[in-house]
Amino acid sequence: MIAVIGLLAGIALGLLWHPVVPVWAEPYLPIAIVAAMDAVVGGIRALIERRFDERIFVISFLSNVLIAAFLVFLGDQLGVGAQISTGVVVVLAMRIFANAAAIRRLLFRA
Amino acid sequence: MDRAAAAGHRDADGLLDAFIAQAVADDYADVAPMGPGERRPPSRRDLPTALIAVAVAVVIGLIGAVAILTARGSDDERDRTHAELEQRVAAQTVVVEQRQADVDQATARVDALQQDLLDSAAAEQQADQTERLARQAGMAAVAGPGVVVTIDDATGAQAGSLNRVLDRDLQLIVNALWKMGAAGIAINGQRLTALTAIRSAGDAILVDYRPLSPPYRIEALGTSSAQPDDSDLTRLLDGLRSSYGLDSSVVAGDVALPAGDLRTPHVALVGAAAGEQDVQEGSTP
Repeated sequence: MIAVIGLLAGIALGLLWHPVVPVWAEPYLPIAIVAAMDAVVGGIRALIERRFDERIFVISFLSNVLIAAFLVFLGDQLGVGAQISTGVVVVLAMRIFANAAAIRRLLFRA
Repeated sequence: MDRAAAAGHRDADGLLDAFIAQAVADDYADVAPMGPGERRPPSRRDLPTALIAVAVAVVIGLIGAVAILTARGSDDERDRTHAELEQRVAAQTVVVEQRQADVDQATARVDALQQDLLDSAAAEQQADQTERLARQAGMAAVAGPGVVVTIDDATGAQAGSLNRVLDRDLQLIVNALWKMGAAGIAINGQRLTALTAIRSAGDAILVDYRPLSPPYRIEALGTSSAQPDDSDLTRLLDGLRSSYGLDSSVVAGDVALPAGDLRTPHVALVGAAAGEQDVQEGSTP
């Protein structure tokens, strides 16, 4: 519950603060969004399954974001940034879909 | 479906299945689900972890909000960029039109200048011809390689004696120089023109009606410095020396001839100038 409050606070902060994304960070924004969504959906699923754990939430999000950002950075340096970004987004999107499917099964038994 | 077929099916999907299973591995797989109303052990819910979790949640929300704002703002950005590009295109179009106008103007100017040049080419040719004719007619000062013929009376010659240089001698020398291809001749600084007379008045020789005094220095421009021994000039000077004792010398060197005084015709009109030039040109062999 405290994580949900933090999430809402972050959204409000972003809407009010209206930060400008620096140019160098723009390739990482989609990755960050997908990684964040992955963490949120995974957290929601765990919450519903009563398995939620802040420690795992934090570690999984940070590690996913760091690995994804590093992969994109590496890809940019190697000239395959777009392909690496696609791969990262695909994997994270698969996780999102899997977790969303689990949530759906838990909530609607379908 | 028998076991082998099922195994083959599993093997065929095995790689993809394994990939998906690993990729979408549940982060919370190791956490045992809690019963209703059950709470985590306190060690798992210590304060720093909860704070970090909140911070992560804030970051996630922030990222989402920023993403939304960026996506929405990109429309404005697109419009702004589009408008700016339109503006830039319009400005550059104006610049291009100006440059094109400049180019057209410059092209027209080049054409005009070329036409002027073509027009003036004829005029220049005329000017060149005029200058050439003026040099030949003795109306322009000229300088260049040539020969200087110096001739003097015989030593101790008396007035009226034949041992003096006569107008006729000078005429013969001048004619010999013309024959040798002289482009211009001056006697004691008096340029010979087509209308210059060499004649005597009493004891004096007049060139262009100006009395000269010996020694006579005849400068001829353009004659070959190497005089053949049997040339008219050599024979003439030898004859004058042997017959009348007139000292003479021919020295090759640079000569500078002044412009002659070609008097303005009293009778001829300007329209007849061309014919007059022909006469002058004809006087130079």
